[in-house]
Amino acid sequence: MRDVTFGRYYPSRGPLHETSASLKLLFFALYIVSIFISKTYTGLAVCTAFLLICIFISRVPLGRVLRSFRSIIIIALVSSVIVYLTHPQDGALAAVVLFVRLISAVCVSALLTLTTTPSEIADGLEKSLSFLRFIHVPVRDIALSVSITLHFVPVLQEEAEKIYCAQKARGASFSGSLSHKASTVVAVLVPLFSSAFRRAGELADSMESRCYDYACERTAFHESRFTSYDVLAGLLFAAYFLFTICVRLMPWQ
Amino acid sequence: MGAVIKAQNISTSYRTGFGLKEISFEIEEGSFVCITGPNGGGKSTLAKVLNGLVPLEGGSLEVCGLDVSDVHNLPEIRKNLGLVFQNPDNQIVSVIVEEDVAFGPCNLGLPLDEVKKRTARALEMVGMTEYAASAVSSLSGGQKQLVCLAGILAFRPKIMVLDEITSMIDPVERNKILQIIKGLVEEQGITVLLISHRFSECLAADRLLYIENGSLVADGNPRQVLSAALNEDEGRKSNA
Repeated sequence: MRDVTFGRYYPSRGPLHETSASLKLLFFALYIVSIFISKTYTGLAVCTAFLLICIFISRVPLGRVLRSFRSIIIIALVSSVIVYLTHPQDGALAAVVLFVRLISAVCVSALLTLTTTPSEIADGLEKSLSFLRFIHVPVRDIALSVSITLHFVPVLQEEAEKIYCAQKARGASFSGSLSHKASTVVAVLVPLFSSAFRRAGELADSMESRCYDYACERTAFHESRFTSYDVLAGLLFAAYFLFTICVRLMPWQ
Repeated sequence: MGAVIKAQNISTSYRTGFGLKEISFEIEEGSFVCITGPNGGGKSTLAKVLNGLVPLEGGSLEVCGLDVSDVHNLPEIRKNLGLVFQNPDNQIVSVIVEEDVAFGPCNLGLPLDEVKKRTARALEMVGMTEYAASAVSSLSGGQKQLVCLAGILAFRPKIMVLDEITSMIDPVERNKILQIIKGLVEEQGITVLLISHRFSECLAADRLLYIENGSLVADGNPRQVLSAALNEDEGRKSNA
């Protein structure tokens, strides 16, 4: 549980922290596109190198980001083995592509949440999706829901750990066969869900008492000003994205 | 000074069963009132009723001259009457301290300068200025509760209802919070309704309301109310 870094903000004054949240959300989406259009070893190497550079300049400890994929490494490995076995031709390449895509996607989402607070993400989403208001999409509510979800990921992780320890102290055994593990995990999931619903109710009351449903335009706490970091980040990302497209379109690939 | 809360025979049948049965009382402006009583007696329900979170089923309730039964009055009532709950983890909506304190003023649509001014002032009032840019997860339970207090103070309320806010924290931080609450009453003139089970907090108040089984069974000087409640409890035990 402690390995999951998704949703945990890492306070710092690094260049990625200073970049506008709207821009980071756009980069995040485009990076996912770039790893999915890269189907060669060269393309994947470019994507991975760019991600490592981003992690380095973010001033977030490498271990914090890499820790995020520990929880899915088994899934990534099993999926890659299945792909390798089911692809008689280019099985190795297909397996590596899938593995790198999964790991990169998890790392880049962890990097986004480590360098951006949930409320910055909410403000960024609200601004980026504001055009949807014209078709009566509740953009503000969606953005705040995303922000609260991210905020509560570590809270629920801690809660799950406490329940796990409490059940172990009461004699529950979480080792043994897979079917036994599946049946005992219910002893953690039931109180966890119960607690999550109780927390949701209390949070809703707290937000209501703090005038969340007040009928007016909510003030954005983070000003949307483009800084020199944004311009530089935009140029670097554009260069990276064009480069991955070029690598994809190269005739010898 | 006039009454800021006027409750006349208020009743609820809250879904959990902790309802109120025809309670009547008035709270004077600038007073420090403690509400106590056994678990499940209706104290938290009363706090939610005052904020309009639980609807009234009978009687009349006015907060700062506004009828709580009228839903149109609720935003104004909530600006004037701040409610802090027991568990800070279930109230904090942001990961950064100043962002969470600013949540309420942002909801009011205030200009950003005003939001920042109120946030800074509220953090200063609870002695948390140096933690403004810190992650909430790095704070202790008491500090988180101070962030929740600051989040309500940023509204500049006339009344604060504090629902067992010291029950989950250690004695040192509890004492610090109690001193801050006293300061709010004495220096800022804020009316405070503190729901608590602790004798020390009950005795620090000007007045004590004792609620049991949804009824207001005693109202008066904290020492007198507590000794009467203890004598009654002794009497029950000796009769049994």
